[in-house]
Amino acid sequence: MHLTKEEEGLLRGEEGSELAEVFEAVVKVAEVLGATRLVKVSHAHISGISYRNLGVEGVEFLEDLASRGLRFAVPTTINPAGFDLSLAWEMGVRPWEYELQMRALRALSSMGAEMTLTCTPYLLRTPCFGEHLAWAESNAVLYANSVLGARTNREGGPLSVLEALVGRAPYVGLHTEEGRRPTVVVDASRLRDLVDKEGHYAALGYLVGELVRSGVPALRNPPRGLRAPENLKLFLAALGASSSVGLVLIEGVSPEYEAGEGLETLRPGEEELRGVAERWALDDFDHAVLGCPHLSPEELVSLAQALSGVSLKKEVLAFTSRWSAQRVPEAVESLRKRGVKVYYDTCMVVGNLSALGVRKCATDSAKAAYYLAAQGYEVALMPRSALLRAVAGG
Amino acid sequence: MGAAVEIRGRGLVGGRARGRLLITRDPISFYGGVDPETGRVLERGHELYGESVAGAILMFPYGKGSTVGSYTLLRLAKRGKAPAGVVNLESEPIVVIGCVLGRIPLMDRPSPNPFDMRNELEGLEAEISVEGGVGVVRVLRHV
Repeated sequence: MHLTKEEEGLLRGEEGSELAEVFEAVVKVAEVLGATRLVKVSHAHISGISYRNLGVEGVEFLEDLASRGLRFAVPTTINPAGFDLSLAWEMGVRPWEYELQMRALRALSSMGAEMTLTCTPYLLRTPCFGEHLAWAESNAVLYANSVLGARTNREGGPLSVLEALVGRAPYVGLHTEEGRRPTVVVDASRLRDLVDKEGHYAALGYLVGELVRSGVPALRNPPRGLRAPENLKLFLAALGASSSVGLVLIEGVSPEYEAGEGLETLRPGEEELRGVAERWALDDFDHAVLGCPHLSPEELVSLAQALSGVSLKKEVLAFTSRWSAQRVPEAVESLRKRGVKVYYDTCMVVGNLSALGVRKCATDSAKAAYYLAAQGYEVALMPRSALLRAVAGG
Repeated sequence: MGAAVEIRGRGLVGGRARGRLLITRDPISFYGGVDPETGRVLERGHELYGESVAGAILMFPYGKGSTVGSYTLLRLAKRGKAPAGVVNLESEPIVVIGCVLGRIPLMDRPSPNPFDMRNELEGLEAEISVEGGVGVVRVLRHV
């Protein structure tokens, strides 16, 4: 493992023994991953900061780091928390939950994190091509790598905290040139028309993840509609939920796309897509949940347009970031007038839907479907257009 | 009576400790799979289901599951319920970070492979010592 002079100094404690200890942990992980050196990153994004993910141990860990006077070395943003900070009581949050979450946020804030509370950091600041990042949220990692050509591994929640403190990540995997070459090809020509016709972008992402499991897939002949940002977000989030993939090279979308000549080529058909699209199904549902990943300003506007002039037949919960909502206040206002519950700072996966009365829910996100089913909810996966038709009474 | 067994491997987190050997061929998810208060394995169907990892030299192939599992190892360590030491076939970041933060001696790539000798080794008292990139587990009783 090669360290620069500056890094060797850090390890010896020239910037303090507290930072040296954190630095040593990053170096250890780098060694285990087979990295030959570290790489400086320009932006860290920390996941798993909901009190429900952290537990008491995670909160104590963050407080311990903060109390030692450690500060994040690079701009650092954070994933959604367990509830909307301004609607905690309305969301049925209990006092101990509130306190635990706020302890975590105070610790993160005192180390210098921006209180973004969103899984879509790429909307707040778009990374450049080739920029090295230490991001931990899988949908954001996939977006940064696959759409923008920035470079990050799926660093994981605890590691991203340490990487943010030292401003460096192990130079391995998707940080390296070799690690970004395709390892397998998925040719979507047999099912692209069905995906475009019915809007199964999330199901397609989940299917690609199930087929390849890991590595760097190249997606050849993708459905036309996949280029639309809202479909791309759902596709990438689903892929991240069903696999350990952090980069997919999509023809016509990814700046680093290459056809992967000579590689193993998978050609899934319509029946395989239907298998995923119909895996989560219900006869009826009580809530529609949208916003995994968090809805963008553009999506909030189109959602408000789609639901204008209709009376809702179902409860609709929409999750977005405070940042996105502040870009389009009229759209948020219009959604709320329509009866849509719009929440910031949190989401259906890391929050507590049961406290909102949710039992059976429908979502357009395969990632949300997967995690909600794992939490014991009855879940239906529907393309967004079908979901909106189902909730709109006309 | 044979010779005392010595297992050597790559040292990842330094330290020295004693404990009984607890060996499983199943990967472990610390988040959700191990009770952070008691160290008991909660995952149904796991070879170690119902057993406690507290104070043991715990041998499992590798970690799995959520990355938040690192915090569980830290919490176990703070409550005195962590393994005395960990030996993996191949360590991954969840376990490495958890052991670094919890100051739990960690080594991987063990030779001879303890998972092939589970029946002979399980429950025996041993000492783990990790220093300068080398890890050694010495079984204190003759096998």
